[in-house]
Amino acid sequence: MNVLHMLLKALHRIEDGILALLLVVMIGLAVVQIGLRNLFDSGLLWADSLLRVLVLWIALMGAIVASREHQHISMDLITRFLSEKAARYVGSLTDMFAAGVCFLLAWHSYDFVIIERESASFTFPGAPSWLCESIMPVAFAIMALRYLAHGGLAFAGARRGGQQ
Amino acid sequence: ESSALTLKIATLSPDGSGWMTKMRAGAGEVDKRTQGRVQFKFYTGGTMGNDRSVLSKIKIGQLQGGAVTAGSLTDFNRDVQIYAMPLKFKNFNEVDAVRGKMDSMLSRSLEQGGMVNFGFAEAGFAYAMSKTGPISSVAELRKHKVWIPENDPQSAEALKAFQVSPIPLSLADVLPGLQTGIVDTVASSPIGALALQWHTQVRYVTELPLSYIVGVLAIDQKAFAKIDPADQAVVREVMTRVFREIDKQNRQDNLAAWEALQKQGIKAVRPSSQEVEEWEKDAQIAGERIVKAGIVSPQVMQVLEENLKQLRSGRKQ
Amino acid sequence: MILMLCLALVVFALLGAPLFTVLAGAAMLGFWHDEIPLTVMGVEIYRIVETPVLLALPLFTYAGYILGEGQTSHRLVRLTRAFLGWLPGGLAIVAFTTCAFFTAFTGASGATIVAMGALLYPALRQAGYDERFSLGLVTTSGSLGLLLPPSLPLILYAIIAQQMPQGAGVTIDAVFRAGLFPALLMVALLSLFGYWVTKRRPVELQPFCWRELGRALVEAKWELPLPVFVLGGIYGGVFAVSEAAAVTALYVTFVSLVVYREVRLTRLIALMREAMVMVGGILLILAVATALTNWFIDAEVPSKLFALVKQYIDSKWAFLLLLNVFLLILGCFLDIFSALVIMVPLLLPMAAGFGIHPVHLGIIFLANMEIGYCTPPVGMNLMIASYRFKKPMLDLAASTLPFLGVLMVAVLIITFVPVLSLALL
Ligand code: NA
Ligand code: NA
Repeated sequence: MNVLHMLLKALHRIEDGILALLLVVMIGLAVVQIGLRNLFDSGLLWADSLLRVLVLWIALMGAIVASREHQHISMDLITRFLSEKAARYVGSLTDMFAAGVCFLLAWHSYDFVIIERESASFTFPGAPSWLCESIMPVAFAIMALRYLAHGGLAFAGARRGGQQ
Repeated sequence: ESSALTLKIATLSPDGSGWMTKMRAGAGEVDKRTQGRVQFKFYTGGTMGNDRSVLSKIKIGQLQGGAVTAGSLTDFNRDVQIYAMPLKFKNFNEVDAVRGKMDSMLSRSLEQGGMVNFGFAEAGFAYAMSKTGPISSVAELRKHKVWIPENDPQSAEALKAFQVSPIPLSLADVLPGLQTGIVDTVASSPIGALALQWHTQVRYVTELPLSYIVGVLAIDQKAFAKIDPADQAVVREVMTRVFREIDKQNRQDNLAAWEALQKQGIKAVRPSSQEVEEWEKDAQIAGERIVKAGIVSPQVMQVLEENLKQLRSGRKQ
Repeated sequence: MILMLCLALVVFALLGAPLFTVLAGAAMLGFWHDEIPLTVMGVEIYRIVETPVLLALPLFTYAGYILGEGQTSHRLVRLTRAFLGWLPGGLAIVAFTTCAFFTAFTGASGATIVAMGALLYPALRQAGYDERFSLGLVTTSGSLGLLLPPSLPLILYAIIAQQMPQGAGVTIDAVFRAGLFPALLMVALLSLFGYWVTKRRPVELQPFCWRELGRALVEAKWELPLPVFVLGGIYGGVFAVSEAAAVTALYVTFVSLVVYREVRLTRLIALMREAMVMVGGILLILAVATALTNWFIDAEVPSKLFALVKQYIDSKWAFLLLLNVFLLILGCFLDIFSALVIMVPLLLPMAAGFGIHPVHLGIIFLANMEIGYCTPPVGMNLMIASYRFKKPMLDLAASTLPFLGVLMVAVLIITFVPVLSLALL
């Protein structure tokens, strides 16, 4: 249990690190591009494409981290009126639903990446499209596993009678 | 007895454009003549995304086809963009003569690459249009902030040969880019400049055809094969005719658009013969670079050059 | 069968399933029903990469988080007070003006109430405003810059509208121009209200003093270039929106890390993480909503919906009135980003059918949503204020009522006087 805990913590730090790194690269690259544009009337041909791929990667890395502690936007209008035990059962149900959807998204975006890999097209020179897209199946798979774990824990918690 | 089949076609061009009106009329005729067995459904104005997304959606089967520029179909056959080689054609006469010899060959190559098509329709010559000053020479071009479409290796190589460091922007960013001065020079056909509102920003247009752009209605071969052979023939007959009409119509529209640009006060800049020679010399280098980079095949490039050589020597005699 | 599954989705949404999973589920259900390969979900989500201006979203959000962390809010309040504090109703006017400006710099990403609320509330109480008024004012002000550039909801509206054939002309530039007068109207009406309250119950004013103004200006010298970057850059033609965002992000990092030393490096990384988690949540919803919109278009849902509505409503004005009621109710249950991505694709074709300008629709939409920030049960301002001031959400909601009344008047004027939004286009 302790080793698992440490591994999870390490994983979280890696995720946080990648997320911050992506942002730093994004700011740096965007500023360099502005400098080239305004001072030298030129620009890196691949920079704008890379910046937009970075937006996708940041979005999905951010979403991975958000799934860690239920930080995704939701409506939650009903559970506040339920008892703690019932709320946990409901919570485990919605987590399982979320896991299912994430699994489907992972599966079908994997399919998309495979199709793109066969066609060998490039998002920008040196970056095959499939590589830029590969974050999608990975991110949704991780989110699916997280929601599965959340759901399992919530269900176990509810069985134990709503106490943490 | 075969059931109805709907071909879903996406395009960036807006509903109500001359191009779309003709395609819809063609679709209506196909519907009638196949007794409703083959139907077209059009998604206009880029609602299915840019050319790249449209091609992805054709690959996965959500769409069956797209009306796109030839340059975006290079996944299926790289040579369909051969006409866009820099400064190859001097005028429409040369275009007509060369296309008469090469269109069917390119169309066939594209079919072999997996895309059923009905010939090419002229989108027009692209001209350099500038906001800040007349551009008559290559040296003048180098002083400008020149836009280049993203993911367009052909233009990238060409501009490298011209020793221009271009500024890449997506199509949607060009108008704001012109407004804010991020770019001050674009290349476009007269129709394109009017449709995209670029004419509100630019003040000079250089009377030198930089490249020649064509559009294609490309339909996925697998989807097309599901149509009954007799009906396939109907689709081919009607759409080939429609594309010939669009081809002619666009020539007229481009000439009218050119006039409209002049009326808006956009000045035509004519390079001197010495300056034209410079442009052509750099364009020759650009052509060699593009072939060397494998963007078009040397064989088809040679066919194009041969055709032009014959044509020009024939005229001199 | 399909009806059952749709119902299940609604139930999961109400039970608190993440909104992106509900939207993705709905899109997949639609595509599956129409026998379109679900691989399309991958294509649609990847379309994030097609939209260059989205780059502004992470950058402005990050800048907002950094600005919210340091003492920027403090310096801005001092400066505005030195300028306007002598007016009757002065502090209230100061609060509205600063909040509008601060929200504009931070892209209306929720940072205002955190940064400003805790600062303005004690100041208002000290100046003699009663608790209820002060709480209401601070809570309402949290979203006041929503219509000012470079607010993220404005940018998002333009992006979503551009995906629809009817919204092709909705550029970022256009919505930035359109929001200016409506935003000023809101600030002006609220300031008048503040003036009226103060007249009935006089509070102490801060006399005007050149020396204080000078000191405040010097103290805020590092913040003063910000409006030049953001507004001057965008309108003056030096930067595009995403470039302005990048410059702002770099500048704000430099100032808070090196000049003021108000943020430590470790805290900076934590802030990056927090900001990007929020960005990830919004962008993921946007991406799956794009897929759902694509299915809407494929299945011709908007035109069917328009035909249905057209049976009952035939005048533009009746439609606008109903639209306001609908948006106010919607604002109670949905946060602004989710409401935008779900409803704009459905409402835009309908509004176009009634002859409403797509840019005007955007301003109406956001003006209504601004009220939604303060309405229970889902109201971002209420939640943040409740957390910040340790007050129950319902008490806060009650305290905002008079302010919401004023905003409602502003919304009606904005709705029925289109020229306010369209004059600068
Ligand atoms: Na787009
Ligand atoms: Na609300």
